[in-house]
Amino acid sequence: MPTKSPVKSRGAKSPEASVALVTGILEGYAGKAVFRGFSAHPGTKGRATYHMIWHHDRPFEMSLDVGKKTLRFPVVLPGVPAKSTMYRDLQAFLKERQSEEMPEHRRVNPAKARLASGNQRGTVSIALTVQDGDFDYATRKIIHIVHEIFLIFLVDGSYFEYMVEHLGLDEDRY
Amino acid sequence: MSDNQNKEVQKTNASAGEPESRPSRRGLFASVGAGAMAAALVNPGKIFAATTPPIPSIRIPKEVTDTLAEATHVGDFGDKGGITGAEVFAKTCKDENLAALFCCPGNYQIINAISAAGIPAFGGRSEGSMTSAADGFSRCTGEVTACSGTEGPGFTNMIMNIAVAHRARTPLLVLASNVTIATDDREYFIQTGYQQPTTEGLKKYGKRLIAPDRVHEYAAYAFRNLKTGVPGPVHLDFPGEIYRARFTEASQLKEYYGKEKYRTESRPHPAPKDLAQAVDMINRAERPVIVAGHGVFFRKAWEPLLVAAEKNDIAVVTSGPMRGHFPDEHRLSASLSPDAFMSADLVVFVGQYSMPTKQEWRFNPEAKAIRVNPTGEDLGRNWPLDLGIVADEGAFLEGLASDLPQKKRDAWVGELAGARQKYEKRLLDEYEQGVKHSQATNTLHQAVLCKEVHDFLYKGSIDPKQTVTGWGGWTIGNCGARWLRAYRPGQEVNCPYQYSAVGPDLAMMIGAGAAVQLGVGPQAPYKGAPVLVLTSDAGITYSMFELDTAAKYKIPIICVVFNNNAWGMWPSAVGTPRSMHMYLFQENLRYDKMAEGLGARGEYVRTQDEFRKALKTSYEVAAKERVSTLINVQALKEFTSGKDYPPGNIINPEPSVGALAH
Repeated sequence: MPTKSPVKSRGAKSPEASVALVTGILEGYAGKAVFRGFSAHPGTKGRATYHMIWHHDRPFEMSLDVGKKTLRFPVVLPGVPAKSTMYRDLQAFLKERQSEEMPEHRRVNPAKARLASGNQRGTVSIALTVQDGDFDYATRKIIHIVHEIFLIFLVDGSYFEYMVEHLGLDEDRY
Repeated sequence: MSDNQNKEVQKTNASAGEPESRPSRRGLFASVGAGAMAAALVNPGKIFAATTPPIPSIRIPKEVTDTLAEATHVGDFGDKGGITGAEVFAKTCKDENLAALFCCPGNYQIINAISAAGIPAFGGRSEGSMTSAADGFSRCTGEVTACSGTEGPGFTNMIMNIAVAHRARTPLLVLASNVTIATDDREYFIQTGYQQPTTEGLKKYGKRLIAPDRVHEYAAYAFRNLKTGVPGPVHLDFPGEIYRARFTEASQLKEYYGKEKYRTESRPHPAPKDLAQAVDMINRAERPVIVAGHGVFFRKAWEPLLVAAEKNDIAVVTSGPMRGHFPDEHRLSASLSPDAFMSADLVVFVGQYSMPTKQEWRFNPEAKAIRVNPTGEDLGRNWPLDLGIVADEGAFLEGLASDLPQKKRDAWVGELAGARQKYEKRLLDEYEQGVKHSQATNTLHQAVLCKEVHDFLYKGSIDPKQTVTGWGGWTIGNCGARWLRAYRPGQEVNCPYQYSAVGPDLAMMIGAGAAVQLGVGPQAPYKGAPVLVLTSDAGITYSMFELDTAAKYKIPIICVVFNNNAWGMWPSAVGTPRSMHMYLFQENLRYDKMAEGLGARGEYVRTQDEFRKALKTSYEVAAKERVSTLINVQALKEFTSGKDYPPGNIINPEPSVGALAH
């Protein structure tokens, strides 16, 4: 059972402290059943990898590199060609998350973190680059963004068939 | 159930026995067409000289009216020969104000005794559909209802529908006869079956009655379970020795005392410290939302909910197998603002019996959670809690209404409004695309159909609060749920809730229609109004014959069938050899014609304009003459797929107006 580590919102100086901070936040989510399963795999030099069972009961991996100030999900959505409408829509969705159209409490503030997506042979990745050293903010935001991709972007868009074909959604599930 | 409501059941068949006088094309064509055909068969050379008598019109037998008008009789020990076990059971049902019974013949002594006692009783065409009719009656009233079938075949026909009721936590009393104790385990004659193991996992409580002198005691068990805590189906099966037993004095029955002693109306109130903590958490939150589940409806707690929400500017989203316990048009309603849920920082689940997981519902991972449930054993399942409270939903909401301070949350209310605007724009965009698809194919797209229903029921001359609606099916169900509205308690029945069964929709809404005709509970102000159901060609198969039941009891329903010639899941066959044939029906089937054969009206439409006119006519006939109509809307299966006709079938966010999983 995950235990919540003491979390400081700012001022984590050493790479190890930043890793501990991020690990604690993610353990906190696991303790609140945001993930169905979770494990942390600390590396060296401010690096760590995290495994979680999350949306559609699928395994997710998140990597942290304090030196490069990045948090990254290498595989968020499979089977999305880079030149597809779906990928364009996703990019627009992510852009909206960083715009002033979003209420402040939902927005990714570009002054604090930069959100980017990548697409390698149809596999969509999401990365957040920390701008001000606030790994607390960045960790929560990247989790929120992935959560919103699955619960808003895929549901509100016309992506039922995509979810059946690529995410194993049961066709009988409304 | 009041005496007035009982009299209303009798009135429903005031015209039984009269020749059919309602407008129908059948009357115009039946005699000519069928007569000529008969003549042609006898003498092909003289087709135009036929003199065969006309085929008689469909009519309601006089005995229907006559028997419904008979005086009620509740059995008594002083009756000649005493009171039967069936009558003892019926007497307890009467004392408990059992709202209605829906059945097919079988379990004869029990259903006869219940109807004789004056409990509104409806006999239909299949046990499964009658079970769903009882379920629908309960979903729009919150009352305990009963269904009944005969032992063996009738009972097993009810299983899918019992499962539907179980997932919806409907307080449904399932009754069935079951051979005799004397012949147990002997496969004696016919219809032997072990019923209680069959409903394992589908009920809150069940019992095969085996001691005649304990029949009242087990009726008490049933109502104690149906009316206390989290509701759910109760299944009793009656061997012949039970219902045929006779009693000439009270001492022959064990535990024979009234409901005041065998159950309690006492409700658990929240512990003061729990209520204080909830008030504090709500007050500290910036964007709180109450999820008002079916427990709020069953406990008729919509008034304290409204007071609490308005006092502290708390957003409210309704959930469960019925909608309307918080009005959709209210500025604090979040049911049409699904985009705002991710902003909520506190979620208060009240009477949410079917708990979602965090991967299903659209809430912020940071949001704190309070859950209020009448019993404690489910608190913490699926959704970790910051505060769990064991309390009756009404008692908790009354506590909140009393203890919350006045507070304004303008930013939060503004965000809800913005999210609603965005959601409604999405619906209109979908409609605009549907118009183009409709015009291009000369069939009707689901979004166009649904907007027409929406505009007719809520934007025209009808009181928007009047019509109870329900929905089911795949493409049409998902779309319909986005367009139907609930402005008062019990106005919308979420037919596929949780179990997602295809097919009970029409039967469920006939049950709801019976409740509206009787004016039970929240339906009282709209007594006599028609009801409407949106369903599919796949779904209608399962309960279409109940249009006969609706006609017999003069329950006016407008049944809109989205006829796309296929099971909604036909895309699952794409790309697999030799499989598509299993997903398709004959094209252009005429469900309207079938409805006419069952004593309802039929309308066939292909265009927006035709549908608009058919809907108007159907509603007028339903309201004035209590005659039902099936509107066959011809569509295309390809409308389901976004690849062919974007946006295709869209699944609905949870929670929201279209949520059905929880």
